Amino acid sequence: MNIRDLVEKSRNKDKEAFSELFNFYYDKIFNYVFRRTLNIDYAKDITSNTFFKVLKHLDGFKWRGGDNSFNAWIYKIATNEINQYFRKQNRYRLIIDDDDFNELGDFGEEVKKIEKKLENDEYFLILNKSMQQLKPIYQDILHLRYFEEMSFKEISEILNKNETTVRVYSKRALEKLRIVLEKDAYIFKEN
Amino acid sequence: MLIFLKKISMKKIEQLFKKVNKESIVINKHKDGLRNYLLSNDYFNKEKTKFSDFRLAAVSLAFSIFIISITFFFASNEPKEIALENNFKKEPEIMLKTLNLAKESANEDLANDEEILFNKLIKKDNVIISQKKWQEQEVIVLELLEGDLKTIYYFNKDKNLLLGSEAYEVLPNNNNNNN
Repeated sequence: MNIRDLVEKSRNKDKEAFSELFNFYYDKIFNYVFRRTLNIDYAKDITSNTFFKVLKHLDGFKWRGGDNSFNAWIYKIATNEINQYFRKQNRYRLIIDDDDFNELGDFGEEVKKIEKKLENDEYFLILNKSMQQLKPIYQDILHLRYFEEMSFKEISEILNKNETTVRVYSKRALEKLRIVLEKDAYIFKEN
Repeated sequence: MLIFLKKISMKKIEQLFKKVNKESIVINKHKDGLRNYLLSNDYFNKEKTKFSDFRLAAVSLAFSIFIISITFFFASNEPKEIALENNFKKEPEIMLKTLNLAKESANEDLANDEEILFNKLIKKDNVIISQKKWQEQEVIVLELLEGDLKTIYYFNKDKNLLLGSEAYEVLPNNNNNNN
Protein backbone atom coordinates (compact mmCIF):
# COMPACT_ATOMS: atom_id res chain seq x y z
CA MET A 1 0.00 0.00 0.00
CA ASN A 2 1.35 3.44 -0.85
CA ILE A 3 1.67 6.39 1.53
CA ARG A 4 -1.32 8.21 0.08
CA ASP A 5 -3.62 5.23 0.74
CA LEU A 6 -2.25 4.84 4.26
CA VAL A 7 -2.81 8.52 5.03
CA GLU A 8 -6.35 8.51 3.63
CA LYS A 9 -7.25 5.33 5.51
CA SER A 10 -5.76 6.76 8.70
CA ARG A 11 -7.95 9.82 8.25
CA ASN A 12 -10.91 7.44 8.07
CA LYS A 13 -9.89 6.20 11.53
CA ASP A 14 -8.26 2.98 10.26
CA LYS A 15 -5.87 2.01 13.07
CA GLU A 16 -4.10 -0.64 11.02
CA ALA A 17 -3.27 1.86 8.28
CA PHE A 18 -2.00 4.41 10.78
CA SER A 19 0.09 1.73 12.47
CA GLU A 20 1.71 0.92 9.12
CA LEU A 21 2.27 4.62 8.39
CA PHE A 22 3.85 5.04 11.83
CA ASN A 23 6.16 2.04 11.34
CA PHE A 24 7.33 3.45 8.02
CA TYR A 25 8.08 6.91 9.35
CA TYR A 26 9.17 6.30 12.95
CA ASP A 27 12.68 5.10 12.03
CA LYS A 28 13.19 7.90 9.51
CA ILE A 29 12.07 10.63 11.89
CA PHE A 30 13.88 9.24 14.93
CA ASN A 31 17.16 8.94 13.02
CA TYR A 32 16.78 12.40 11.51
CA VAL A 33 16.14 13.91 14.94
CA PHE A 34 18.91 11.94 16.62
CA ARG A 35 21.48 12.97 13.99
CA ARG A 36 20.52 16.59 14.59
CA THR A 37 20.52 16.51 18.39
CA LEU A 38 22.88 13.65 19.26
CA ASN A 39 20.84 13.22 22.41
CA ILE A 40 18.78 10.05 22.87
CA ASP A 41 16.39 11.50 25.44
CA TYR A 42 15.58 14.59 23.40
CA ALA A 43 15.40 12.53 20.21
CA LYS A 44 12.68 10.42 21.89
CA ASP A 45 10.75 13.48 23.05
CA ILE A 46 11.03 15.32 19.74
CA THR A 47 9.96 12.21 17.82
CA SER A 48 7.01 11.68 20.19
CA ASN A 49 5.90 15.31 19.86
CA THR A 50 6.23 15.12 16.09
CA PHE A 51 3.93 12.09 15.82
CA PHE A 52 1.52 13.53 18.35
CA LYS A 53 1.22 16.66 16.18
CA VAL A 54 0.87 14.55 13.04
CA LEU A 55 -2.15 12.81 14.56
CA LYS A 56 -3.59 16.05 15.91
CA HIS A 57 -3.44 17.82 12.53
CA LEU A 58 -3.93 14.85 10.20
CA ASP A 59 -7.47 15.91 9.22
CA GLY A 60 -6.18 19.35 8.17
CA PHE A 61 -3.35 18.00 5.99
CA LYS A 62 -3.71 18.72 2.23
CA TRP A 63 -1.99 17.06 -0.74
CA ARG A 64 -0.74 20.35 -2.17
CA GLY A 65 2.42 19.09 -3.83
CA GLY A 66 1.28 15.64 -4.98
CA ASP A 67 2.10 12.26 -3.41
CA ASN A 68 5.29 13.54 -1.77
CA SER A 69 3.34 16.11 0.26
CA PHE A 70 2.98 13.91 3.32
CA ASN A 71 6.71 13.20 3.43
CA ALA A 72 7.45 16.93 3.27
CA TRP A 73 4.75 17.65 5.86
CA ILE A 74 6.00 15.19 8.48
CA TYR A 75 9.61 16.34 8.03
CA LYS A 76 8.46 19.94 8.32
CA ILE A 77 6.85 19.16 11.69
CA ALA A 78 9.97 17.33 12.86
CA THR A 79 12.26 20.17 11.66
CA ASN A 80 10.14 22.73 13.50
CA GLU A 81 10.36 20.63 16.66
CA ILE A 82 14.14 20.33 16.29
CA ASN A 83 14.47 24.09 15.89
CA GLN A 84 12.29 24.58 18.96
CA TYR A 85 14.63 22.26 20.84
CA PHE A 86 17.66 24.31 19.78
CA ARG A 87 15.92 27.50 20.84
CA LYS A 88 14.72 26.16 24.19
CA GLN A 89 17.54 23.65 24.86
CA ASN A 90 16.89 22.09 28.27
CA ARG A 91 13.49 23.77 28.49
CA TYR A 92 12.16 21.63 25.65
CA ARG A 93 9.37 19.37 26.95
CA LEU A 94 7.38 16.35 25.88
CA ILE A 95 3.81 17.47 25.18
CA ILE A 96 2.28 14.04 25.71
CA ASP A 97 0.65 13.92 29.11
CA ASP A 98 -0.01 10.23 29.63
CA ASP A 99 1.18 8.25 32.65
CA ASP A 100 1.45 4.90 30.85
CA PHE A 101 3.53 6.42 28.07
CA ASN A 102 5.70 8.52 30.38
CA GLU A 103 6.45 5.50 32.56
CA LEU A 104 7.86 3.32 29.81
CA GLY A 105 11.00 2.92 31.91
CA ASP A 106 14.59 3.34 30.84
CA PHE A 107 15.94 2.17 27.55
CA GLY A 108 19.38 1.37 28.96
CA GLU A 109 20.57 -1.52 26.78
CA GLU A 110 19.32 -0.07 23.52
CA VAL A 111 20.82 3.33 24.30
CA LYS A 112 24.22 1.77 25.08
CA LYS A 113 24.21 -0.02 21.72
CA ILE A 114 23.43 3.21 19.91
CA GLU A 115 26.17 5.11 21.73
CA LYS A 116 28.68 2.41 20.84
CA LYS A 117 27.60 2.50 17.21
CA LEU A 118 28.00 6.25 17.22
CA GLU A 119 31.48 6.17 18.74
CA ASN A 120 32.63 4.04 15.83
CA ASP A 121 31.23 6.36 13.22
CA GLU A 122 34.12 8.83 13.05
CA TYR A 123 32.97 10.43 9.80
CA PHE A 124 29.63 11.26 11.28
CA LEU A 125 31.13 12.67 14.50
CA ILE A 126 33.49 14.95 12.60
CA LEU A 127 30.77 16.16 10.23
CA ASN A 128 28.30 16.69 13.02
CA LYS A 129 30.73 18.60 15.17
CA SER A 130 31.53 20.91 12.26
CA MET A 131 27.92 21.30 11.15
CA GLN A 132 26.87 22.44 14.59
CA GLN A 133 28.95 25.55 14.03
CA LEU A 134 26.83 26.54 11.01
CA LYS A 135 23.66 28.60 10.89
CA PRO A 136 20.49 26.54 11.63
CA ILE A 137 19.19 26.91 8.06
CA TYR A 138 22.47 25.50 6.67
CA GLN A 139 22.26 22.61 9.13
CA ASP A 140 18.67 21.91 8.04
CA ILE A 141 19.67 21.84 4.37
CA LEU A 142 22.79 19.71 4.81
CA HIS A 143 20.99 17.14 6.95
CA LEU A 144 18.00 16.89 4.65
CA ARG A 145 20.16 16.79 1.52
CA TYR A 146 22.98 14.45 2.57
CA PHE A 147 21.56 12.30 5.36
CA GLU A 148 17.90 12.11 4.37
CA GLU A 149 18.90 12.17 0.67
CA MET A 150 16.11 14.51 -0.37
CA SER A 151 15.78 16.47 -3.60
CA PHE A 152 16.03 20.27 -3.57
CA LYS A 153 12.31 20.41 -4.37
CA GLU A 154 11.43 18.34 -1.28
CA ILE A 155 13.72 20.45 0.89
CA SER A 156 12.15 23.64 -0.46
CA GLU A 157 8.70 22.33 0.58
CA ILE A 158 9.89 21.41 4.08
CA LEU A 159 11.63 24.72 4.67
CA ASN A 160 9.03 26.87 2.89
CA LYS A 161 11.67 28.29 0.59
CA ASN A 162 12.07 28.69 -3.13
CA GLU A 163 13.89 25.77 -4.79
CA THR A 164 16.55 28.09 -6.26
CA THR A 165 17.12 29.63 -2.83
CA VAL A 166 17.63 26.14 -1.38
CA ARG A 167 20.21 25.35 -4.09
CA VAL A 168 22.11 28.56 -3.36
CA TYR A 169 21.94 27.96 0.40
CA SER A 170 23.12 24.39 -0.08
CA LYS A 171 26.22 25.57 -1.95
CA ARG A 172 26.94 28.21 0.67
CA ALA A 173 26.41 25.64 3.46
CA LEU A 174 29.00 23.32 1.90
CA GLU A 175 31.48 26.19 1.53
CA LYS A 176 30.99 27.18 5.16
CA LEU A 177 31.40 23.56 6.20
CA ARG A 178 34.63 23.33 4.23
CA ILE A 179 35.97 26.39 6.04
CA VAL A 180 35.12 24.88 9.42
CA LEU A 181 36.67 21.52 8.49
CA GLU A 182 39.85 23.21 7.22
CA LYS A 183 40.03 25.34 10.35
CA ASP A 184 39.87 22.17 12.44
CA ALA A 185 42.28 20.54 9.95
CA TYR A 186 40.19 17.48 9.40
CA ILE A 187 40.30 15.46 6.25
CA PHE A 188 39.76 11.85 5.49
CA LYS A 189 41.77 9.39 3.49
CA GLU A 190 39.93 7.97 0.53
CA ASN A 191 39.60 4.17 0.47
CA MET B 1 41.52 6.31 8.57
CA LEU B 2 41.55 10.00 9.38
CA ILE B 3 44.50 12.20 8.62
CA PHE B 4 45.02 15.91 9.05
CA LEU B 5 45.54 17.93 5.91
CA LYS B 6 44.85 21.54 5.01
CA LYS B 7 43.09 21.72 1.64
CA ILE B 8 39.67 20.13 1.24
CA SER B 9 37.71 20.14 -1.99
CA MET B 10 33.91 20.40 -2.09
CA LYS B 11 33.78 17.01 -3.76
CA LYS B 12 35.60 15.47 -0.84
CA ILE B 13 33.10 16.94 1.59
CA GLU B 14 30.26 15.35 -0.35
CA GLN B 15 32.16 12.05 -0.26
CA LEU B 16 32.53 12.45 3.47
CA PHE B 17 28.74 12.52 3.84
CA LYS B 18 28.51 9.32 1.81
CA LYS B 19 30.89 7.57 4.17
CA VAL B 20 28.71 8.19 7.18
CA ASN B 21 27.07 5.06 8.48
CA LYS B 22 23.40 5.42 7.57
CA GLU B 23 22.35 2.29 9.39
CA SER B 24 19.07 2.97 11.12
CA ILE B 25 19.02 3.23 14.88
CA VAL B 26 15.81 2.44 16.70
CA ILE B 27 14.68 2.18 20.31
CA ASN B 28 12.04 -0.50 19.94
CA LYS B 29 10.54 -0.03 23.38
CA HIS B 30 9.93 3.64 22.66
CA LYS B 31 8.61 2.89 19.21
CA ASP B 32 6.07 0.35 20.54
CA GLY B 33 5.04 2.59 23.44
CA LEU B 34 4.51 5.59 21.18
CA ARG B 35 2.55 3.54 18.64
CA ASN B 36 0.25 2.15 21.37
CA TYR B 37 -0.26 5.59 22.83
CA LEU B 38 -1.18 7.09 19.44
CA LEU B 39 -3.53 4.24 18.54
CA SER B 40 -5.40 4.64 21.83
CA ASN B 41 -5.84 8.35 21.14
CA ASP B 42 -9.38 9.80 20.97
CA TYR B 43 -8.71 10.62 17.31
CA PHE B 44 -9.63 7.06 16.34
CA ASN B 45 -12.85 7.09 18.35
CA LYS B 46 -14.19 10.34 16.93
CA GLU B 47 -16.76 10.16 14.15
CA LYS B 48 -15.40 11.53 10.91
CA THR B 49 -17.39 14.57 9.74
CA LYS B 50 -19.34 13.44 6.73
CA PHE B 51 -20.67 15.42 3.79
CA SER B 52 -24.24 14.56 4.87
CA ASP B 53 -23.62 16.45 8.16
CA PHE B 54 -22.82 19.58 6.16
CA ARG B 55 -25.93 19.01 4.02
CA LEU B 56 -28.11 18.78 7.13
CA ALA B 57 -26.55 21.96 8.51
CA ALA B 58 -27.14 23.74 5.19
CA VAL B 59 -30.83 22.69 5.18
CA SER B 60 -31.26 23.92 8.79
CA LEU B 61 -29.59 27.21 7.89
CA ALA B 62 -31.81 27.70 4.83
CA PHE B 63 -34.94 26.97 6.91
CA SER B 64 -33.86 29.48 9.59
CA ILE B 65 -33.27 32.15 6.93
CA PHE B 66 -36.73 31.42 5.48
CA ILE B 67 -38.42 31.82 8.91
CA ILE B 68 -36.54 35.08 9.60
CA SER B 69 -37.50 36.45 6.14
CA ILE B 70 -41.19 35.61 6.73
CA THR B 71 -41.09 37.35 10.12
CA PHE B 72 -39.56 40.50 8.63
CA PHE B 73 -41.98 40.45 5.70
CA PHE B 74 -45.10 40.43 7.93
CA ALA B 75 -43.62 42.93 10.31
CA SER B 76 -43.00 45.34 7.44
CA ASN B 77 -46.73 45.22 6.52
CA GLU B 78 -47.63 47.04 9.75
CA PRO B 79 -45.30 50.03 9.73
CA LYS B 80 -47.61 52.29 11.79
CA GLU B 81 -47.83 49.79 14.62
CA ILE B 82 -44.11 49.34 14.62
CA ALA B 83 -43.63 53.11 14.60
CA LEU B 84 -46.02 53.51 17.51
CA GLU B 85 -44.42 50.67 19.45
CA ASN B 86 -41.03 52.21 18.95
CA ASN B 87 -42.27 55.62 20.00
CA PHE B 88 -43.70 54.22 23.22
CA LYS B 89 -40.20 53.42 24.25
CA LYS B 90 -39.39 57.14 24.13
CA GLU B 91 -40.36 59.86 26.58
CA PRO B 92 -44.07 60.07 27.65
CA GLU B 93 -44.65 63.52 26.09
CA ILE B 94 -43.37 62.44 22.74
CA MET B 95 -45.38 59.23 23.08
CA LEU B 96 -48.61 61.17 23.72
CA LYS B 97 -47.96 63.56 20.83
CA THR B 98 -47.31 60.71 18.50
CA LEU B 99 -50.44 58.89 19.63
CA ASN B 100 -52.64 61.98 19.15
CA LEU B 101 -51.13 62.64 15.77
CA ALA B 102 -51.84 59.06 14.80
CA LYS B 103 -55.46 59.35 16.01
CA GLU B 104 -56.01 62.63 14.17
CA SER B 105 -54.52 61.18 11.09
CA ALA B 106 -56.82 58.14 11.36
CA ASN B 107 -59.90 60.38 11.86
CA GLU B 108 -58.85 62.52 8.92
CA ASP B 109 -58.58 59.46 6.73
CA LEU B 110 -62.02 58.33 7.86
CA ALA B 111 -63.56 61.78 7.28
CA ASN B 112 -62.06 61.93 3.82
CA ASP B 113 -63.57 58.55 2.97
CA GLU B 114 -67.05 59.64 4.16
CA GLU B 115 -66.84 62.95 2.33
CA ILE B 116 -66.05 61.02 -0.84
CA LEU B 117 -69.03 58.73 -0.13
CA PHE B 118 -71.31 61.76 0.35
CA ASN B 119 -70.17 63.36 -2.90
CA LYS B 120 -70.65 60.08 -4.76
CA LEU B 121 -74.15 59.63 -3.40
CA ILE B 122 -75.46 63.12 -4.19
CA LYS B 123 -74.42 62.72 -7.80
CA LYS B 124 -76.80 59.75 -8.21
CA ASP B 125 -80.28 60.32 -9.72
CA ASN B 126 -82.00 57.91 -7.33
CA VAL B 127 -80.91 59.87 -4.26
CA ILE B 128 -83.10 62.32 -2.41
CA ILE B 129 -81.32 64.84 -0.19
CA SER B 130 -82.99 66.49 2.80
CA GLN B 131 -82.14 68.05 6.16
CA LYS B 132 -83.79 67.19 9.47
CA LYS B 133 -83.19 66.61 13.16
CA TRP B 134 -82.04 63.09 13.96
CA GLN B 135 -81.02 61.89 17.39
CA GLU B 136 -81.12 65.47 18.68
CA GLN B 137 -78.84 66.92 16.05
CA GLU B 138 -79.21 68.57 12.69
CA VAL B 139 -78.27 66.11 9.98
CA ILE B 140 -78.28 65.84 6.23
CA VAL B 141 -80.23 62.81 5.04
CA LEU B 142 -79.60 61.00 1.81
CA GLU B 143 -82.20 58.47 0.68
CA LEU B 144 -80.97 56.01 -1.91
CA LEU B 145 -83.55 53.90 -3.71
CA GLU B 146 -82.27 50.84 -5.54
CA GLY B 147 -85.08 48.60 -6.78
CA ASP B 148 -87.17 47.66 -3.74
CA LEU B 149 -84.37 48.59 -1.29
CA LYS B 150 -84.13 52.01 0.32
CA THR B 151 -80.97 53.02 2.20
CA ILE B 152 -80.94 56.14 4.34
CA TYR B 153 -77.63 57.83 5.23
CA TYR B 154 -77.35 60.40 8.03
CA PHE B 155 -74.38 62.78 7.59
CA ASN B 156 -73.29 65.63 9.86
CA LYS B 157 -73.84 69.20 8.72
CA ASP B 158 -70.34 69.42 7.31
CA LYS B 159 -71.16 66.44 5.11
CA ASN B 160 -67.93 64.71 6.03
CA LEU B 161 -69.02 62.29 8.77
CA LEU B 162 -71.50 59.48 8.44
CA LEU B 163 -73.47 59.38 11.71
CA GLY B 164 -75.62 56.38 10.83
CA SER B 165 -77.44 54.47 8.14
CA GLU B 166 -80.59 52.38 7.80
CA ALA B 167 -81.84 50.05 5.07
CA TYR B 168 -85.47 49.09 4.33
CA GLU B 169 -87.28 46.83 1.93
CA VAL B 170 -89.80 49.05 0.14
CA LEU B 171 -93.31 47.55 0.00
CA PRO B 172 -95.56 48.61 -2.90
CA ASN B 173 -97.91 50.59 -0.62
CA ASN B 174 -95.26 51.84 1.70
CA ASN B 175 -93.28 54.67 0.11
CA ASN B 176 -92.93 56.65 3.23
CA ASN B 177 -90.82 54.56 5.54
CA ASN B 178 -88.39 57.14 6.82
CA ASN B 179 -88.61 58.01 10.46
